[in-house]
Amino acid sequence: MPDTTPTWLLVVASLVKSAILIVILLTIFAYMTWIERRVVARIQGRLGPNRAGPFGALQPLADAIKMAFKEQIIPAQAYKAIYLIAPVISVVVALSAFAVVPIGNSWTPGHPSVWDPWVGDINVGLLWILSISSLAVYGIVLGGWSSGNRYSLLGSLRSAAQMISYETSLGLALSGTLMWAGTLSMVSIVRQQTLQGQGIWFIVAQPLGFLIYIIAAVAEVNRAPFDLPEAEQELTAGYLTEYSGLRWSLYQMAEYINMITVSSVATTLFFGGWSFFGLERIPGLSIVIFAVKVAFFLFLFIWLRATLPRIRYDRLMRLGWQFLLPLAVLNAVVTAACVALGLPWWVNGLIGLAIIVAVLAITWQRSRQTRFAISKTGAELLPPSVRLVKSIEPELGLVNGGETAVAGVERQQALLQDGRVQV
Amino acid sequence: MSGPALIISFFVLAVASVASALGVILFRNAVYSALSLILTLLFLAMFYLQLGAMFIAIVQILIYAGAIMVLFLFVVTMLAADPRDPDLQDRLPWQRGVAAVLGLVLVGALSYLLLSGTPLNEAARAHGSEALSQVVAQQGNIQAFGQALFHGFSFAFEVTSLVIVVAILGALVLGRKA
Repeated sequence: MPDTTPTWLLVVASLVKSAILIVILLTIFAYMTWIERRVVARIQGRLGPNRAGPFGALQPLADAIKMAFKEQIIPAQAYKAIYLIAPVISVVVALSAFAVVPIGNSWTPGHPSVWDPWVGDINVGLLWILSISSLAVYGIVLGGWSSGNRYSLLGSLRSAAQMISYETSLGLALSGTLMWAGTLSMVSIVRQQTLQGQGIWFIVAQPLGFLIYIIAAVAEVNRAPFDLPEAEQELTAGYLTEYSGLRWSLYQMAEYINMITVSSVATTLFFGGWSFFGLERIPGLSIVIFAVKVAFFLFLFIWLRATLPRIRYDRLMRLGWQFLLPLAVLNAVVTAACVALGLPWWVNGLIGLAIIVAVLAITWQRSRQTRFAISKTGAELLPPSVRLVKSIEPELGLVNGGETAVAGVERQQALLQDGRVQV
Repeated sequence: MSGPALIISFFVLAVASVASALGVILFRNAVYSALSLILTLLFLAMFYLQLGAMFIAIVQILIYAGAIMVLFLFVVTMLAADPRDPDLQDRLPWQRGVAAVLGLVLVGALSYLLLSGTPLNEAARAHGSEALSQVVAQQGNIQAFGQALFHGFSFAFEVTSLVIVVAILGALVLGRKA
């Protein structure tokens, strides 16, 4: 930004841009809830909300009115001040993290002005997002603790452990991109990926980094399949148990805004932000390009939620510490070597792809033991947790009197594979 | 920022951070103490911001407020006794006197150094604050910091990482025994 800009203009511009950004984010939040319900319904063969307005498009409005008029219960055992302020912390943190995200090219490229479509372009932009979103866990922990309820407390502690575990992988995954970009400022990172910069989207140099980031991001925003904090079978509704009305929807708001933020970071760092092969020179179009890219990631979140079952808690922790973190370190080391040796981007990309393929192959090979129990004859049986019989041993295999034992076993295995036998 | 704006913002921040620091030791509820400590750390980050040290400020939030204090809070919410319990009493009453004496010693030492002013001037002369600010202006905040960390102070940096590894291993060994 030019140094000649008077301070008052900077302040006014920032305030106006922040206000516009908050309105946009809240609108997207409202419509994300509707889109999510429609998409999930479509995937599950239902209709979803379709009564209020055309295609149910007024549903968010109806929900908002309902939420606003609901009674906000404060439990007798709650720590009142903290209980009331915790959802607000969540939302404020979620909103402020978005401040450094550039949602479009500057209006007049080459001539920065205070009205460019980002609230602030600070030289530690990415660190700002990481540090602010590391505060997001307070809203959840404090909400859970102040409810004075064991379910809430356990839900919030789970969430704290989960967020801390995945934050490390998240940050390390981003460091690879930073090495290629050579800057922490979000605007400069996007510029590096335009044709005037290095001319590539960093996804091609960092496929492994992107994969780690997207997995860690889903865990970081507590979305399915990592939505352990609100695992209703075990913890009622986790930290949300005691909340109702507007404060409940504040937590929902924070969750969706965080989703938008991690999608925007993925777009900015790996998919060139608002750039699209030169089309971004038209300023209005650059915002549309950015919106489309972010919308793709938001759809991915919904898609994941509708597709994958929730992961078990110990497996979640093992995935984070024993799988994602070593991979992220490996990615950082490989990227640092490539950048330091001055190798072209496709070397780094090919190494990343090779690692992904190797990991998938090893996982596939090893998961044979969990997907199937290997019997003594070498045949693949369904594992004990899935099949409904205790054990199939050759001596138990006589199902028909006339058959030999071995034939009986094979026959029973065939039936088990079909899932037809339920002994 | 300069002139009266700097002075005013300094005093506002100073009062706020001292108040929240007092909260750390005065609250009976351990969770409130932890929250006050978080607030103090955030105010400290704002001090850095005020001095133009953007990187240090952000890292202060990221590491202390975002990571370490979360672990504090994690343990405190899980283990701290309910402060509304009437049977609760201070089991270490002697530590208040010791803490007061040690605090006075710290304040005395710091004010002596500040008021005599020698170390500050010497530090400025030794490291050449003028030259440093020129580097920052030329290369930017993080670049200058990275240069200093990995070129000027790389030995100290590596030793620090070794110390941290030793600490982690020590924690592992101690944890395994129990």
